[in-house]
Amino acid sequence: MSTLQHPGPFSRRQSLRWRLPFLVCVLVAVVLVTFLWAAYLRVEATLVRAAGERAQVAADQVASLLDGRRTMEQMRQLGADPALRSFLQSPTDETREAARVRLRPLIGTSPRRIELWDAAGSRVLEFSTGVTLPRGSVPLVPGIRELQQSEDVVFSDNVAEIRDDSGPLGFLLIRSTFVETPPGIFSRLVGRDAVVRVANRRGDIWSNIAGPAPPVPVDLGRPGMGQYRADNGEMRLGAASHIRATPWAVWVDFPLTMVVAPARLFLNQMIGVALIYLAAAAVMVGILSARITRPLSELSVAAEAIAAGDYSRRVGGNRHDEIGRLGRTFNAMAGQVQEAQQRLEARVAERTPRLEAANKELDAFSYSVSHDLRAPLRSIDGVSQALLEDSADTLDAKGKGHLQRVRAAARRMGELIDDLLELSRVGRAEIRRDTVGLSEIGHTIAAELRKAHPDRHVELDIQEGLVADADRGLAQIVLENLLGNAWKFTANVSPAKIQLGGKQADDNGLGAVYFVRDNGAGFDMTYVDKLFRPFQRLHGHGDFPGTGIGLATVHRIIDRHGGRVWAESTVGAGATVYFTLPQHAVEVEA
Amino acid sequence: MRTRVILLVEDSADDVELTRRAFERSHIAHEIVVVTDGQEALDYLFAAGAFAGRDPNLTPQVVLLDLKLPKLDGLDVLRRMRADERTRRLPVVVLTSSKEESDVVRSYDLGANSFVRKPVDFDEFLDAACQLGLYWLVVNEAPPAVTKPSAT
Repeated sequence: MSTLQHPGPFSRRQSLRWRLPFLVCVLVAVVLVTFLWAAYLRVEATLVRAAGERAQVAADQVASLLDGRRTMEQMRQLGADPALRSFLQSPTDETREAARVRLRPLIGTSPRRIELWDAAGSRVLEFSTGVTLPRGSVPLVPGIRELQQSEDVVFSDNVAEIRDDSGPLGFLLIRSTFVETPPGIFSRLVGRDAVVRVANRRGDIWSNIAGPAPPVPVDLGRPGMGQYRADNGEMRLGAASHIRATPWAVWVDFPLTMVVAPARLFLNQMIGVALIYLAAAAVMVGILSARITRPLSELSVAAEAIAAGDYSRRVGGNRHDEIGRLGRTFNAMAGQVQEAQQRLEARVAERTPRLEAANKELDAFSYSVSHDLRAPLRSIDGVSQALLEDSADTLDAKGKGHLQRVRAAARRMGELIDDLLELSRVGRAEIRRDTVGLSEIGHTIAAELRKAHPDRHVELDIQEGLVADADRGLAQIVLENLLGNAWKFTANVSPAKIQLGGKQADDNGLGAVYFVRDNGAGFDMTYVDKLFRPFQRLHGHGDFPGTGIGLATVHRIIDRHGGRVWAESTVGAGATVYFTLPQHAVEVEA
Repeated sequence: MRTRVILLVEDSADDVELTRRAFERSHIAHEIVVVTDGQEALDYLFAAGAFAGRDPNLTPQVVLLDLKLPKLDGLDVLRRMRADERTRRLPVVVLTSSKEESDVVRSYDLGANSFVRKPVDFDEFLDAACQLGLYWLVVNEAPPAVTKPSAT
C-alpha cells in the first residue's frame, strides 16, 4: 500500500477561491483610497486658496472704505480755515463764536469729540457728543493716530496743525469712534460666518467696529493671508489689508471648516462611488475566481479519489483555455495510471498462482527433506551401531573405528539437515511482532546450556530489561545461535565469559543495538565477510563442531526484521556480534 | 480387551528393525505387530482385509504411528481412528522423522496423545524408545477397552 500523505484540513481562508477575490478587492480598495485622498487634498488646498483670496478681497474692500486720505484732506482744509486761524491769532468772543460755528457741523451722530488747542498747549475750545470720549492730551502730533481704548470704547484721533505764514498757531483734534457707513455693509462684503476686525498694525488694540475685540494671533505688519487657531479650538482662515494713510489694518477671517465643507462633501460622494466600484469588482472577481477554481477543485477531488484507489475517476475538460488543457492532460494521465494499475493487477493475478505453486513446491520439498533425508541417516547410524554390538568379536579396532566415523558422519549430516531446514523456515515464516524480553530468553537459554554442559564453568552476564520489537520464536533462534556459538568458542578458555547486552533505542532515532560478547577463540577479521554466509566456517571441524549455518540463520532473521548484524573480533581475544531490531513503523492516520 | 501388543505402523524396514532392537534393549517384552502402510493399520485395528479373522475387540496397548506412509498417511489413519468408537481413546504416539510444526500441530489437532521425533543418533533413539515404552506401557493408565463392536 502506498504511503500517500493525505491532504491536510482545507480551510476557506487558504482556498484560492476566496483568496483571489480578497486580494483583488484589497488592491482595488488601496488604489481607490489613494486616489480619493489625493483628490480630496487637492480640492481642499484649492478651496483654502480660494477662500484666502476671497478674504483678501474682502479685507481690501473694507480697507478701501476706511481709506484715510479723504479725512487727511479734510483735516488739511480745516487746518487752513480762516475762522479757526483768526480765533487762535486773537481769541475774542467774536472769533470764538466764528470758530464754534465753523466746527459745530463736524459733530455728527456718531460719538465724537472736537477740541481746539493753542500753540502753548492749552485747550481753548471743545465739543463732544454721544458717549463720552476722554479728553485729549499733549503732545499732539498731526495725522491719523493709532487706535486707543477707553473702557469699552475704541476710538482714534485725527490731528490737524493750524498755522499761518509766520508759524504754528495750534491744533485741531477730532476724536471719534468707528461707524459703519452705511450700516451692514461689512457683512455684505465679507459674507456670513466671517468676522471683520480693525486694529493697529502693531496688533495691540483690536476693534470689531462696535467696540473692543479680543486680539487675533496674526501678524498685521504685512498684508496677506494667514491661519490661526481660535480659543474654541477651531481653525480660522483670513487675510489682512493695510488701510491707507492710517496706522491701521483690516483683518477678515472665516472658519476653516466652512471653507473645506465642500471638500468633505466631495469626499463623501466619492466614497459612495468608490464603494459601488469596489462591490462591483468583488462580484466580478468572485465570479471569475469561481470559474477558475471550480475546475481546479474538481481536479483535486478527482486526484484524491484516484489516490484513494478510484482509478476510473475523470474530470470534465470541455473548456478551451489553460484550465481545460490541464483537465484533459489530467484525464490522459489518469488513464495511463489506470492502465498501468490494471496491467500491474493483471500481472500480479498472473503471477500469484505461480508464486503460490512455487511456495507449495518449496514446502513440499522441505517436508520431504525433513522426512526422507533423515530416515536413511538413522538407518546408517543404527545399523552401524548394531554392527558394532552384534559383531564386536569379529571386528578389529580399525573396523570399529571406521564404523564410529560412519556414525559421526551420519549424525553431522542430520544436524546439517536440521539447520538447513531451520534456515529455510526462518526465510519463509510469517513474522508476528511483539514486545519480546530478550533478557528472559537469554536466561532460559543460559540455563539450558548449563544443563547440557554441566562440566563447563562460564560466567554468563545477561543485562536485565532488554526488550525488542520482534517475532518471539525467531528472536529465540537468534539468541540460541549467538549464545550457543559463544558457549562453543569459549570451550578452551578459562575463565570463560559471555555477555548479552544492549543499548535501548534513544530519542535520536537510533534503533536499539544488542550484542553478544565472548572472550573465546575469536576469528580473523579478514574473513568477516564470510561469517554470515551459509556453510562458511572459520574454524576447523576438529576445533569447534558446527554446520556453518547458525550465523546465516541469524542474519536472515535480523534481515527480515529490517535490522543489521555485524561482528568484531580479535583472534584469541573473543568476538562480539552486534544486531539491531528496529521498531516496526507504526502506521498513523494523518 | 487390551492385549499386550504394540502396533507399529512403519514402512521403513530399517526403522522397524531399529525400533525392535531399541525395545529389546529396553527389555520391553510386548509383542510388536508391524504394519507397513495406513490401510493395513486400519485393517488390523478394525479386523478387516488381511486381518479379517482377528477379534476386533483385542486392541493394542499403544499405536506407534509414522506419518509418511504409503496409501493412507499417518494423519488419515489418526483421523479414521478418532472417528471410530472402538479406537477413539486408544493411545497413539506419533513417531516420525520430521518435526515440521505443521505436522506437530495437525497431529495434536487430530487427537494424538504424544509426538516423538526419531533422532538420527541411534543412542538417542534408544533412549527415546526406552522412555516411550516405560511411559506408555507401564506408567500410563490406559482407557477402558471398548468391547462392543460398532455397527460398521
